[in-house]
Amino acid sequence: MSLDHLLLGFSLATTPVNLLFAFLGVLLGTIIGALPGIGPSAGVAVLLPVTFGMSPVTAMIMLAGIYYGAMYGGTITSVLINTPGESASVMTTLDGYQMALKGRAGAALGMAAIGSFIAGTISVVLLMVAAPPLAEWAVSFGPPEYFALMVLGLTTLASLTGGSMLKGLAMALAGLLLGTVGIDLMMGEPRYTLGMVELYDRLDFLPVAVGLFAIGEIVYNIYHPIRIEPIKAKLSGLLPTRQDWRDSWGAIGRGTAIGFFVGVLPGAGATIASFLAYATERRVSGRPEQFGTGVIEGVAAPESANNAASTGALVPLMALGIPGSGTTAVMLGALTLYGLQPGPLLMSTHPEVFWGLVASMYVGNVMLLILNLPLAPVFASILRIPYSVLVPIIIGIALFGVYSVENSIFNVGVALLFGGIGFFMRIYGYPAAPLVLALVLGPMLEKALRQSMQMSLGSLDIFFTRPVSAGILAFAVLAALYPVVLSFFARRREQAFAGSR
Amino acid sequence: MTRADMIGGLLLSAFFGAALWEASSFQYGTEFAPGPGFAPVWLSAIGLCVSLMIAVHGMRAMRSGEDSEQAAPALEVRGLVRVALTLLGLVAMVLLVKPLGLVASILLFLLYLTLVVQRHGVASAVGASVGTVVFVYVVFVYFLDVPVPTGPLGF
Repeated sequence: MSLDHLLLGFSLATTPVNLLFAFLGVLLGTIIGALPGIGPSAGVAVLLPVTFGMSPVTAMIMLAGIYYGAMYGGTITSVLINTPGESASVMTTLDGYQMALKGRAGAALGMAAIGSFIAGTISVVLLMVAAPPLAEWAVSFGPPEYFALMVLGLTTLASLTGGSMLKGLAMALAGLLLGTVGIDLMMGEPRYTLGMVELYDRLDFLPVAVGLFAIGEIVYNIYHPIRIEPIKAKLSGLLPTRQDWRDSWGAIGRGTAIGFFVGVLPGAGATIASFLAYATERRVSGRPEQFGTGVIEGVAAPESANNAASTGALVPLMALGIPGSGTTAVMLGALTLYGLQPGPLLMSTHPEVFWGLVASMYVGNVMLLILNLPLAPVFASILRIPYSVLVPIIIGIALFGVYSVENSIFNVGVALLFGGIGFFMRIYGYPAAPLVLALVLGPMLEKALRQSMQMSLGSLDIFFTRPVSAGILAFAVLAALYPVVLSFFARRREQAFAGSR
Repeated sequence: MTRADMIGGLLLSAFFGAALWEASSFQYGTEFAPGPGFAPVWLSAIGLCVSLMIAVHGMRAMRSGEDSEQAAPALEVRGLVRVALTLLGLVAMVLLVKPLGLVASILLFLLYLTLVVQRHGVASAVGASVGTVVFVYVVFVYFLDVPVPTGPLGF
């Protein structure tokens, strides 16, 4: 990292156009985060086509703004109506809503915004410090190390998405298989093209992502309409008191640290970060029994963690070209659509993209603080718009956006097909993120595997004899086994408990 | 794990089984390196095992009458009718693009969605549908210069 790079970043981030799109990104992100039923993955996928006319720097600034802006917005519904706007705000409902019931909704939202701002800003500094050396180190990586890293990303995401690990794994395998559709680039053999010329080039990730994340979710909401409870809480006193500060500063610090490091891990993400931060805070607190009754550190910790995690997730994305979540997978796909080659060389070949993004995040976090403190009541009023009115708007933008990527009706058909599949996946608990991530990583993973085996003349030993790839694969095995071991011990404990009764 | 898991696992097994069948016709490998069939064969074979495991777990849970927290909720018929109407409308929209143009077919679909499926009032249905189409037309066609298939009305 050098000061020159940072200055370059600020010179780009503060141009009127980039400031405007950073503002639009964080504004749309806050709205998307505040609305239950549409998460940051869907928001980024649906709005990605809108960025096509922009430079890659401006586009990434806007997409990242949507991503971390959604973390701020998710708090509003969690606190006011006890419904998380997106999954990373689930923990905020526990104490945030209780605070609202006690007439302290303003303090909860204020502390969440301030905690998010502090966590967001500190984690941008950490991103700036961590990503460049990691990229420099990764330049020496060969195909086996890349293969191992991608396996790690997929395994952790499949095992940590919640619900059944087998289902996560099945979805990751389905995504990898869909990633093989098209003409094989090494031998020229068509695979799974079903005789359709449109599939020769490969299955585009965007129609699949929009179908699974956006249309599937919307169809689910048509099936099971969201009923937003009227807001009863009064919004006043947004600035925290001195006692609130005393109770929260430690939670913000710990939430930031946990969030950033969990965010960096491929597959973990903001939701797990907020769970861990809340659990940690409860453990270290002097009043653990009051958690869940409306304590302010129960809001500050998860909100700081989910913001820090969303920035942490950009470390593997920007330094290694490996996304760790559904949203960052869509952002990686965006980079390739702009003609950039994601990976460790991105920072040296296109420093403006990384440094422009980093600088814009400082500015974006200030914008979000301003938006979320005095304007929290305005965002809260968005919740008064019936969700059913938003359904046609989201579907309309999604359909047009998917068409515009390649001016292809075929892609619209693909989005609809995956929308239908996504609806049933949603009902039966099959996570969409591993499928989308695997679809994006699939071609890269296969290329790395085949190159590695060419290097080793067909032997798989190459993955285990090189220390870095062996270490990463061992970590992937641990990540895959972790939930299995955890559920084994939980079952043992339950049996022991039942026996003792 | 439930009956739904058993059916889901079997459907996935069918998908991975078909993929494995198809993959067996691809060239598996060259002398020293994997060929185009290597990844599809292994991915579909592992996928088949995983989905069969899902189906077996579901079957076992059904037999033992185990009620798990992941049990899928019973499907609501009314909700499913709305979903079927929406998906049919989307398919019809795609088929109408050629004769009517993209903008007109999306507008018709949104009117159908809001009036027939969601049962909005006429004013809010027309407002949301026309407003959305005007917005996306301005963004994609006017600002981003995306060429869209046009119909007899010229848009």
